[in-house]
Amino acid sequence: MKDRILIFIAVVVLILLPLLFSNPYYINILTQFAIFAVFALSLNFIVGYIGEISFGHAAYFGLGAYFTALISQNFGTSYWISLIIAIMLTGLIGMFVGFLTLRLQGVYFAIITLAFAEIFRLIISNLPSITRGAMGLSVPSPNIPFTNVTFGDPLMTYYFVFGLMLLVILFIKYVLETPFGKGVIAIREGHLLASSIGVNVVKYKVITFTISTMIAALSGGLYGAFIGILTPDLLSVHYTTEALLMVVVGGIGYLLGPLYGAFIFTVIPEFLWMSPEVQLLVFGIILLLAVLFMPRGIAYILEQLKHKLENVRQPKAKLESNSEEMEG
Amino acid sequence: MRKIFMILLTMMFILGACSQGSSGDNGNNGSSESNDGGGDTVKIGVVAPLTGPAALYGEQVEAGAKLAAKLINEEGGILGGKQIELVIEDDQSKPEVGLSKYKELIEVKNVDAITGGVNSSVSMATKDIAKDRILNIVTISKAPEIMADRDNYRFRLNSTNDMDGESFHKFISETLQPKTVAVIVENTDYGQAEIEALRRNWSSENDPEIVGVEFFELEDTDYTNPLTKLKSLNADALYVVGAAIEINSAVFSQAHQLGFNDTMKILSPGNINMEVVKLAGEGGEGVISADLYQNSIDNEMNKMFVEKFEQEYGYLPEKMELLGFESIWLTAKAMDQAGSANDYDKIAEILSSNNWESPRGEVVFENGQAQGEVLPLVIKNGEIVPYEQ
Amino acid sequence: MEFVGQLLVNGSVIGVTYVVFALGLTLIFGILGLINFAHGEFYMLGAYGSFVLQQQFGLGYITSAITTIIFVLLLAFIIEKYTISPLIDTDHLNSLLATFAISIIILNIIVIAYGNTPRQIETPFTGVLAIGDVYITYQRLILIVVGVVIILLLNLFIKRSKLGKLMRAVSQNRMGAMVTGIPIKRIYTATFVLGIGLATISGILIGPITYATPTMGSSAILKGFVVVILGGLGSIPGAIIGGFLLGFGETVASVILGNSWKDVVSYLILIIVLLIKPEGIFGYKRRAQ
Repeated sequence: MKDRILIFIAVVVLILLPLLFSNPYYINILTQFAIFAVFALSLNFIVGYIGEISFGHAAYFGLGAYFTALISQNFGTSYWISLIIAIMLTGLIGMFVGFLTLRLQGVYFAIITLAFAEIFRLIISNLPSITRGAMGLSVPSPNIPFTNVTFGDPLMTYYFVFGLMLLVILFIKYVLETPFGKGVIAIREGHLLASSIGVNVVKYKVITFTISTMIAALSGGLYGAFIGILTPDLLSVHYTTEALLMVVVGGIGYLLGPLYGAFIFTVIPEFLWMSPEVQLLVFGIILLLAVLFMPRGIAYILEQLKHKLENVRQPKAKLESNSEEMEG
Repeated sequence: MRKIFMILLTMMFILGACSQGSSGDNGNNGSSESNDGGGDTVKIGVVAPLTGPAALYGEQVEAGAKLAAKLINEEGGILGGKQIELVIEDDQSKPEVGLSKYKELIEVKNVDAITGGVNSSVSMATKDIAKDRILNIVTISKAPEIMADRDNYRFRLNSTNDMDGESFHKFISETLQPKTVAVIVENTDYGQAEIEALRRNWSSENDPEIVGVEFFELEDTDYTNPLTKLKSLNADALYVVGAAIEINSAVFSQAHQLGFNDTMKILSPGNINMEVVKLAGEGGEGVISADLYQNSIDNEMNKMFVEKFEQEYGYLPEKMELLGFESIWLTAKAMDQAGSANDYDKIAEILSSNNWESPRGEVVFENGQAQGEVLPLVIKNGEIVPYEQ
Repeated sequence: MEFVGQLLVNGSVIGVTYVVFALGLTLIFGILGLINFAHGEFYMLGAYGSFVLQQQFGLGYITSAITTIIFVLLLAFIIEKYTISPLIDTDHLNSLLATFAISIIILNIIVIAYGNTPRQIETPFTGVLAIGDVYITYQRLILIVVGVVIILLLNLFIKRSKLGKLMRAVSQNRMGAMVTGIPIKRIYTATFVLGIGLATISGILIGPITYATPTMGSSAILKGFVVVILGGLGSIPGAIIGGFLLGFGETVASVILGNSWKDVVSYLILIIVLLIKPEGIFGYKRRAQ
C-alpha cells in the first residue's frame, strides 16, 4: 500500500518537475530521459528476463526511427500511424532475428546480435537513394496525436513521452504477471525447471525478444521525432552501449532499474561540463566498478536499503512519522 | 520505495537550482536585448566538430574564429566598446549533437549569432532550428541543399560542391582532358554530394567518362583493395573524394605504392593543404586540386591575417582557418555597421549589400552564398603552387 | 594475371593481420572461457605505443615496438589480476561487461590524450618491391614474415612447452586440471597476457601501413569475432584458417560487390556459420563448463 502511494508521489513529482523550469532546454533533457528510459526498458527485457546480452539492440531503435520516417514520408500516412506500422515491421524483423539467434547463448548470442545490427546499419548507410545515408534523413516535427501541438513543444512533448513511458512500464509489469511472464522468469531461473513445467523455452524467448524489439522501435520512433534527424549512427554500437550502461548500472532484471540508469546517463551529464570523451571515460569506469562491486545495480541497492529501513522502522515508528511530516 | 522518493526530491532540488541559474542568465540577456547597450559583450556561438572524424578541421576553424575575436577585441570591440565573447560548442561531427548544441545556444546561452557547421549533415540538421530566429553563418559545410528554403538570416562562406564543380570539373574536362576517370570516394554526406555533382557536371559526350566508383568507410585504413580494382580499369585519372587529411594522404601514398605512376592524380577541390603534402610524401607529388584560398595571396588584409595568425599559433593558416576567421570577422563588422547585435533583418541586409574585404580578396553574398571561384593548384616538390600547364 | 597477383598480396596482408589478432582472442576464450571485448583496444595500444615512443622519446621503430610490448604486457597483467580474475568464476555476463568497460576506458583515455587525429608511425622498411606489375611495400612484407613466424612459434609453444601443455590441459578439462593441482589462476593470467601480446604485435605491425587511430581497435574486434567464430571459438588452427579465409574473402567481395559491401559479407558469413555450425568450421564441440 505504502509503495503505491510512493509511486503515485513519484509520478506526481515527475509531472510537476518540468513546471519548475522556465527554460525549454531542461524540459527537453527530461524528455530525452523518458525516451531513453523506454529504450533501456526494452533492453532490460532481454538482458534481465532472458538473461542474455544483446550487443545489437540499437538496431531496433534505429529501425523503428527509420521505418517511421520513411513510411510517413513515402506513403503520406501520419507520423503516429507510421510509428505503429514501424513497430509491427520491427517486431517482425525482431521475431525473425530472435528465431534465428535465440538458440545460441552467451558470447555467441552477444556476437550474432552485434553482427545483425551491423548489417542493418550498413544497409541503411549504403542505400542513400532511400535513406539518404550518412547525409541524414530529416524528420519534420509531427503533431502530438489528437492535438494541434507540435512535437517540438517542450512541455506537451514531455508529458506525451512521459505518459508513453508509464504505459510501457505498466505493460511490462502486466506481461510479467501473466502466465507467460511467469514462464519467462522461470526460464531465467533455470532452463531445466522451466521445461519440466511445460514451458517451451525457445518460443518464450522469441516472444520476449520480439516484444523487446517492438518497444525499442517505439523509443526509436519517438527519438526520431524528437531529434529531427536520423543517421545510420542510430543503429551503431554506440547507442547499444548507452542502453546497456543504463540497464547494468540501473539494475539488471529489476522493473524500474533502467529508469535509474537512464536518469544517471541522460540527465546528470547535462549538468557536468565534460567533453564527450571524458564523459565516456567516466561511464566506462562506472560500468567497470558496477560490474565489480554492485553487479545487481542501483535497484538492488535501493531494495536492500528499503529492507534495512523497514527493519529499523518497527521499533522507531515515532521518529519515522516525524520525519514524514517534515517531508510533507 | 521511500528511497526513491528521497532521490526524486534531491533531483528536484538539483534541477531546480540549475534552472534558477539559467533563468538568471535569461534575466541578464533580456535586459541587454531591450536596451542594446546594457550588456558589455556580444555572444557568438561557434559550433564545430572538436571531436569525431572531422575534429582536425573543427580545430582549424576554431583557431581562425578565436583569432578574429581577439583582433576585434584588441581594437576595442564593436558597437561602441562591447567585447566579442565566443561560446564554442563541440558537435562531435554528429547531426543530432549539432542540433542540440544549436538549441542550447539559442535557448539557454542566449547567443546573438551562431557560426559553424563543418559537416554538411550537421548544417542540414541545424538549419531549421535557427531559421527566422538568429543569424546563422554556415562556415564550411558544402552541400548545396543547405541554402535551400533559406530565411534571410542564413549565410554561407565556403563554396558548394556545385560551385566547385562548375569551375573545377570544367577545368579538368577542358584543360586536363582525361578520357576516363576512376573515382574513390568516402561513404559520407560529403562524398555523396560530391559524386552527384561530378556526375551532373560530366554528363555530356566530351566530358571525361567515369569508369569506376569505389566507396570506402571512414573507419577503413587500408585502401589497397579498391585501389587495385580501380587500377585494373586503366583510367587516365584517379579522382579522390575524401574530406579528411589523413584519408587523402593515405589514398595517395597507397596508390603510389601500388604503382599508379602514370595516372593523373586529382583531389577533389577544397581538400588540399600542407598537411596532406607532408603525410602523403612521394605519393602526393603531382596531385592536382583547387581551393578558394591560398595563404600566399597578395593583398594587405591577407598579409596582416597570415602574420597575426603565425604569431598566435606558429603555423601558416589555410582555408579552414581563413573561413573560421571570416565567420567571426564579417559577423562582427556587420553587427557594428547595423548598430545592433540582434537586429537580424538589418544585419542580414548589410551583409548582403556590401562588398567585404577579406584575406581571400573581396567577398560578396548572393542569396546568402559567398561568391567566388576556386583556383587550380598542384603539389610540386613538396609545395602547393598554382597550376600551370 | 597481375590483377589476381595483386589481390593475392592484398589478401595475405589482411589475412596475416587477422590471424595474429584473432589467435590472442581465441586463446583467451579457449582457456578462460572469456570473450575479450577489449582485444581491439590492445591492438590500438600497440600502434599508439609505437607512435608515442617514436614522437616523444625519439626511439626507432624496433626499439619502440619492444618497449610497447613490455608495457602493454604489464598493463594486461594488472588488468587480469584486478578485474578479470575476480569475475571469472561468476556469471559470464560479468566478465563480458568488464572487458567491454575496459575497452571504453582505454579508447577514451587515448582520445583524451592524443585526440582523434590519425598518427603516422615511421618505419625503416620503406620502399616498394615490384614483381612484374604486382607491388608490395617492405613494411607489408615484414608484416607477412613476422606474422607467419609468430604463428609458427605459437604453435610450437602450445605443443611443446610445459606452459603450453598446461594451457591445453586447462582448455580441455578445467575441472580435471584443477584436481591434478595445476595452478589454474596462474595459467589464466599467463594466457591473458600472451593473448594481449599477440593483439599488441599485430597493432605494431599494421601501424606504419595505415595510421594509428583511436577507433582502429573497434573495427578490428568485429573482424576478430568473425575470424574466431569462422574457425571455431577456442581453436588455434581454426583461427589461422579463419583469418586467411576472411582476408581473401573480403578482398574478393570488395572487388566483386564493391568496397562498401565487403563488411556486410563478412557479417553474413559470421551469422551463417553461427547458425549452421556454431562450433565453427574447424572447431570441435566444447565441453560444457
